[in-house]
Amino acid sequence: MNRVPAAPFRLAGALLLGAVALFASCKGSAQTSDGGWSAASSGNQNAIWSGPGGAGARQRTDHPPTLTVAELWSLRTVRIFESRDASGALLRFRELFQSDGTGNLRVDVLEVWDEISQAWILPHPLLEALYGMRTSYIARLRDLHLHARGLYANYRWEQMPGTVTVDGRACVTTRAHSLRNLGPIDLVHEVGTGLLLGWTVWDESGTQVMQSLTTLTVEMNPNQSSVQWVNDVLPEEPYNPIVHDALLGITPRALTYPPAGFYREKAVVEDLRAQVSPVNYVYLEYWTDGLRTLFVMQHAISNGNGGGGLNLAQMSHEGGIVAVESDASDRRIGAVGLLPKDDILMVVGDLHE
Amino acid sequence: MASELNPDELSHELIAALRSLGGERAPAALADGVELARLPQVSAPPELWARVSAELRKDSPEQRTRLMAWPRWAAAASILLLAGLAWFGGAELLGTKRGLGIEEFGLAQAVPAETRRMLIARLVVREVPPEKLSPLTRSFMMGSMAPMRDDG
Repeated sequence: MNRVPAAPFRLAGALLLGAVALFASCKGSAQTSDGGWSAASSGNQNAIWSGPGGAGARQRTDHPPTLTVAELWSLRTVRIFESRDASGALLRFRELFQSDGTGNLRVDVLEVWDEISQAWILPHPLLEALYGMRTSYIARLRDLHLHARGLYANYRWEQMPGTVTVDGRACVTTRAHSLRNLGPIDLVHEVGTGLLLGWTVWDESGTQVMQSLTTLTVEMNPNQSSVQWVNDVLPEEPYNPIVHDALLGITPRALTYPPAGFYREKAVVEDLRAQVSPVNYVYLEYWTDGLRTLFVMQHAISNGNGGGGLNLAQMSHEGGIVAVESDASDRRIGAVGLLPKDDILMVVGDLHE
Repeated sequence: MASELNPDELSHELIAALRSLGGERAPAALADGVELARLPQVSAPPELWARVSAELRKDSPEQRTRLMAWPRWAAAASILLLAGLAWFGGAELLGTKRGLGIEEFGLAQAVPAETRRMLIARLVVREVPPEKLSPLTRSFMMGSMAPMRDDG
């Protein structure tokens, strides 16, 4: 009987499969979409990262970084917050952030960048006062945080090459690539502690900075005996229709079509009676995709649009933040978020019946 | 093949026990077995042994090893393939979290384009500067996240 020699075919088969494996490997390491993925290369670890499209080897990671935020530490930092206004100009604020690590906070504005004189100038007293009134919102809402969910489904994570130094502290930059085309976000965090010391929010195309925070100095465990902590958190309770609908004067409408990838983190009723405001109670929903936050609010009004058929809406945007508000017959609907205009408009439109 | 037990050497006790069964009959299979056991040992014809041997060789360990040789190579190559995919990002092809993002519970699904257009079309939108918004909306926009230039 004639037998076909098997060994050459086995070898050929193995080589074929090996070649397929090699091809797959090369494909994986050569992707250039958006982030220009490449396998980590020790030879390029000193490359300087300079923004989307910058040079240097980048390292994909499966997981978001483990971060801790400044309000969990006893520290004092000086930092610059930048935000692009509606005209495209970058506004700069030099801030002093203080925290005792147990929940006590204070954020002051030290200086404001003046484009005309190209110099730092002292802030207006009213701006100083407003900072004092909004400390907790700046620290807990404006400053970026990683939330519990959405970090895998909505973002792809990449550690940028090399390190940056923040006041003598070695930091790395992790980029969160939005899988929903919302633009990347860079997070600068200290090696070892994971302390978040800065971030940059890019526009949808990844070419223009919309917001950024850069820490200039860090002082850990400072003497804080003379610090006057700010307690500006408004009283709020988790929403309970039985208790709160009567206070609100409305039954909040549920969002049927939230933006893709978002989830509702909490729904609360804020008590505004201590504020100089015609509104006593407001219903607030906090939505997030893991990094970006969306606020949806509803409160009763006495002179709504009367059901005339037209749902007039006012929209404003600054620093990548889009705000839309619109009156229905019995309520004002508002939505504010670091999202494209259409997403915010869709949310407000959804709440109009 | 032959039985090692001579029926004539059964013990008296066993014979007595068998007789106590009275009219009971042994099953036919037992009778066949006893009959077979009493047959003298004979050799199978050579043709039969040739056919049986050929059948046995098909299932021999040596033959199985030869048959397994290719799958073993294939398995090794497959492991290399999977390792390559997993390590260098081909995991996207497998739909793992590194690639497309794992499904996380409770996240909103994408809204169909037609629905988006319908919802947006409910509004008549006018762009205004932040200071034209209501104090509450403005507070959220400027105080919570955006800068507060206009407040100053």
